[in-house]
Amino acid sequence: MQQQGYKLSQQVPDDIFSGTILAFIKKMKRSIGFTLAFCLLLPTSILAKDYSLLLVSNADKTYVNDISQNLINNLADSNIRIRTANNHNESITDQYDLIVTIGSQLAHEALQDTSSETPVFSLLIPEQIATHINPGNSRTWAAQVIDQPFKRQLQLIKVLIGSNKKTGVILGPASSVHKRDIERTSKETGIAVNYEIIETSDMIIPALKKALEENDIILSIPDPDVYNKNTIRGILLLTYRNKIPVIGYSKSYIKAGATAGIYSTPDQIANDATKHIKDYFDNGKKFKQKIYYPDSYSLEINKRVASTMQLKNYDKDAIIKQIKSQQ
Amino acid sequence: MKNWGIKKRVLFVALLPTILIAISIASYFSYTQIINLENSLHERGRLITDQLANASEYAVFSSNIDILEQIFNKTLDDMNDIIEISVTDTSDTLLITKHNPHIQLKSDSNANHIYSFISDLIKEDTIKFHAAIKTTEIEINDYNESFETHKNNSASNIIGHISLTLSNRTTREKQLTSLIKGAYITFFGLLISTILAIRMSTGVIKPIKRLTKAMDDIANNRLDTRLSIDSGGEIGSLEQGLNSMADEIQSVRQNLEKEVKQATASLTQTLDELEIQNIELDIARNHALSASKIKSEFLANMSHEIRTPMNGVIGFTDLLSKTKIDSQQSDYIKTIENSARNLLTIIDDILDFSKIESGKLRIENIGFDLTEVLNSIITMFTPMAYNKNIEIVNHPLPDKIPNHLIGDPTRLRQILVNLISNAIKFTSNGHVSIKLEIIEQTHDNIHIKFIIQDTGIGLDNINKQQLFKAFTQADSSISRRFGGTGLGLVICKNLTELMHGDIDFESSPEQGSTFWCSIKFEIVPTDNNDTLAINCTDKTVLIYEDYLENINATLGLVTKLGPKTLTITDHNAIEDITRQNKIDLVIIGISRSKLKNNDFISEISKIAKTLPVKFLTIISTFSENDLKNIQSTGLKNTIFRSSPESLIANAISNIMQGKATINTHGTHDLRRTVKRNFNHIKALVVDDNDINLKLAKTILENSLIQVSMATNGKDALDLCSSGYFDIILMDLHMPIMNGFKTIEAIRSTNNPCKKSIIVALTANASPEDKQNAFNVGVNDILIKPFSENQIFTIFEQWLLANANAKSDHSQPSGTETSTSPYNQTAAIELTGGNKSLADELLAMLVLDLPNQKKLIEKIYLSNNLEELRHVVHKLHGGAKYCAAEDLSSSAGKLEDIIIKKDKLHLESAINLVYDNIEKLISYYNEMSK
Repeated sequence: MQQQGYKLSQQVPDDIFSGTILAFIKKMKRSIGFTLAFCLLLPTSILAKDYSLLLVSNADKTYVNDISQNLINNLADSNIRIRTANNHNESITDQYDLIVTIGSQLAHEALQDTSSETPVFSLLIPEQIATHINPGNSRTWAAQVIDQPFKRQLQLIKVLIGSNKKTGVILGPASSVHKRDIERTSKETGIAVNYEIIETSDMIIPALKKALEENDIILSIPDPDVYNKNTIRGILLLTYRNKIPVIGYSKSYIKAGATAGIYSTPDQIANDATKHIKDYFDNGKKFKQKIYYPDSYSLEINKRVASTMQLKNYDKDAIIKQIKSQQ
Repeated sequence: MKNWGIKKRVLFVALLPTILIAISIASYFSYTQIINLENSLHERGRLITDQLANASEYAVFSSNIDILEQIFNKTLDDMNDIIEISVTDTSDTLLITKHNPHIQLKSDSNANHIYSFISDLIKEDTIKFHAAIKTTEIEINDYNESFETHKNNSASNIIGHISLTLSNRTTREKQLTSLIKGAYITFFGLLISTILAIRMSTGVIKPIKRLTKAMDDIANNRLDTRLSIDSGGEIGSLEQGLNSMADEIQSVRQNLEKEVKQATASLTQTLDELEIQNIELDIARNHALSASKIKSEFLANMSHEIRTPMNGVIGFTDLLSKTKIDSQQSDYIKTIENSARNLLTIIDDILDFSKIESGKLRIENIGFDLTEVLNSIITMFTPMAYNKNIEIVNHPLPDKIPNHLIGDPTRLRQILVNLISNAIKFTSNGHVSIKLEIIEQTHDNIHIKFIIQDTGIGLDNINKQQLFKAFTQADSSISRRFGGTGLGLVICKNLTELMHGDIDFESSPEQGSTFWCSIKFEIVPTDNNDTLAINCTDKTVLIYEDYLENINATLGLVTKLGPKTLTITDHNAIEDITRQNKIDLVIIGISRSKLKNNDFISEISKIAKTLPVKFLTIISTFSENDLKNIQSTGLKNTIFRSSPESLIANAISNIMQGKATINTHGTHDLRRTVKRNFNHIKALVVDDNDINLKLAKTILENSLIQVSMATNGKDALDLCSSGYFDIILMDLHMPIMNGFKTIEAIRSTNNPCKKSIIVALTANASPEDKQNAFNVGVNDILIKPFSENQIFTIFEQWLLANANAKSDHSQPSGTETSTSPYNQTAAIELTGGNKSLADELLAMLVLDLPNQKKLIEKIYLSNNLEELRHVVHKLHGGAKYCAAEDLSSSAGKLEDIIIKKDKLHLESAINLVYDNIEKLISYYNEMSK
């Protein structure tokens, strides 16, 4: 299905309209939103051909679709012509001014194509992955990561429990690279952070127990060897029993039992991405920075847990306001 | 099962399905329950293990053993069938093991449990359950773009294992309890079903039993049995039906009883009447029997009493006729004699009829010579027929009729005599013929038809129906015209029937009658009827007869001999035929009508003289004068027509074979007076009748016999004791001591007359009397009235034989001419000087000897001494009369031995007779050469 849709675009790149909407719908069978976006782009492509953008995304994932749709919507009124694809294809990448990938896998694939010089902007990539990607010397690449900046999280802790409390952080093999950033941020924010570094997942319990004994709150730093779907129940139960709040890094995490956390929704991610893309083209096809942290974010509090933890400030807007005020 | 009562059957039908279903259901549900409990146990084990695994997740994850212990303790407290719980981590390191402390206690506490012993029977087992302790997966990333997605870090969520050991004791107890409860429920269910079935079957069976009992009662005649109808439905209908049936049966029974009573009363009355009638009939029968007996005795006595004086009348008439009397007196005497003999015939008829009526007539079954019987009858009636100028024609016997038969010759003779007598009586001209035919013949038996045909007055149909009725004759005129009692044919009919035969006749008025009787006889197997086997087949005989019946008889006889025959009735044709044909013999038959025709006889004589052919003349006369007259004309070869068949056959044969002489007589003249010189003989006559004594004394003394007399047995016995008598004539019926006892006394003691010849005199010669007489030692029997000839015939028969025997004993062997078995001189003397007669008699004797020998042999083998004595007696008499002295002597001895029943010497005596027979045959053959 993707191949067929892709071939149609390839044969008549300027005359993409030659195919009827119905035929397209019939062959592509994609979401209605995607089709509408395509239709909206059509007059633009006819009137102005300033910039072309290839949006490579995996339509199987709802949140990807949401981001894509928001992104297309956001860029609809711009001079950026968006062409979507389900995967990277090197033969066509050179025809675009920018390739936007959503997800780690598609970003990896796009950067793997060394023959293309088209700049790549990757959305929705964990920070640990983004830091390990090497796009090559000549290739322009930037990423908008999922992870919230440490500062923002520590500011949250500060808002929630105050700055005089100690924050425990358990770092695994993947997240241990952030130790310096955390330490730096800790200093910036004035919030004490204790580190527990583990090498294997077997060491989680002792490390956690130690962290629980020594700290007032636990800040979760994403690391598959520490926080995964198998360990999270135990971790949360342990923290719960010890009445130590846990700051999560996703809405799901908070829902699972973490006390509170900040995260970016697909809309927020798309909005941030729109801004960065426009900045890219406006800036002469140059990214201002290699890693972009989410500018927009949301706060979530597990009120039942928070109540157990005897936290009293449940006003998310107020909290966010306090965080932003600190920035 | 066939003999099961209805109760058993109902219970069987009701209970068997119930039991089967109950057991099946109980078994099924018990089994299901057991399986369910077992499955439950396993399910429960798995559930507990899974729950414990889940519960243990946090404790294992956090390595918090205390939590595990708490969980397990709680679990073990709650679930006392869990024996052990243990947890290991992923490296199989044991984290905790918890044993259930209650298990042992529980077991102890159950030691006295009601099911403990049963429970112990069920092997307690433990079941182990294992489960992995897994962490609960909770997604914590909003975007699945985290590192783990491409790091391939799919770490297993298994953090340990839990092992649960579960006891099945509780389950087993539950299973057992379930089984026992099931058994209880089944048992009580069956019990209830059984009770219900019995109650229901009783409800059905009770009325049926009542019905059955009522049926039995009714069957056992308790017909007043009734059932109270307290059942409904079909049983009620049956009860009603049974009652109705009982009513009906009782009603029928009562009616039947009533009818039976009536019938019984009627029958009783009838029986009483019958009884009375029976008694009356019995009385009447006794009276009748008594009367019959009296009548029979009277008749017998009368017969005896009449015969005795008649003996005197006839005897003295005979003696008187031999005195010097004139012709008128002679005529009167003949009239007296005829009247006396007629009277005797009447008496004999009445006596026989009386015996037949009273059933006392016995038929003998002894060997006899048929030819002899027939010849004697022909001889007897020839004078009577010829006196009436009618022909008496004796047709030759059929070839296959044997001479020697077994039967009653006396009664056969009586029948034939009666029939021939009647035929002659009722025939005034023409002929009376006697002819025999074989109806049927087997190896052992022969059925012979005796046909007496006459040309007499005949009978019409009305008279025919009266003919065989007693005391009736054709019509009253016959009685007046011909006389007679009317008993003759009745006697013949009864005698024939007694001999298993039949008698009937055909007759037409003025056409004559043909009477016939058929009688069955046994054949003596050794008989050889070859007396006429004379080979004349190459000869030609010309037969002249002028009377048709004679032609048939003569032609039949000649044909039997084998020669060709020519028959003519015109004597004028004799010469021509003889000249034209090669005639070897011309037989001239002279009938009664031609006998006195001298011209005819002269012509015949002339023809005979002129023709070179031998002539044989057969004449219808019994007169010696007639014979001599014809012989005087030149017809030397003349023979009486009444001669025996064998005699005529021999004459024909002899003439054709060139032998010069022939015998003209058939037998000796019945009227011939034999006067012998018995001067050396001593005789004793015993009779209670003085006339008979006087008659016998006169007759005997005329022959110079020394006569002594006695009037009763006792006197006779005295006389015998005092001296020897050669012959004793003993009357059997006498006062004081009868003849039987007297003879028995003479024979059984050392009486001088022990070996004397004893001749019984009786007027009542029944077979029983004869047998009794022979049994006591009588040599011969003389029936009253006896004639002079009869006396002397017996004297000759016995005394000559005795004399020869004596001479045999007195003379040393070889001194006399005793080497010859035949005394010709004595033979000629016995025949009154007639040598040819003596020769002929010898020839007849010798011809019959082989048959006699075979007959003796056969009877001897059958051990019938009485019949043997009879045959030997006959041989003895015949040999003695022919002067075959050796044979006579040996036969006499054999007879004595048979009489004495001396079986020791019997065989040697028989052999001696055989030797003498052979000697005589050899002697005869030598003489014939």
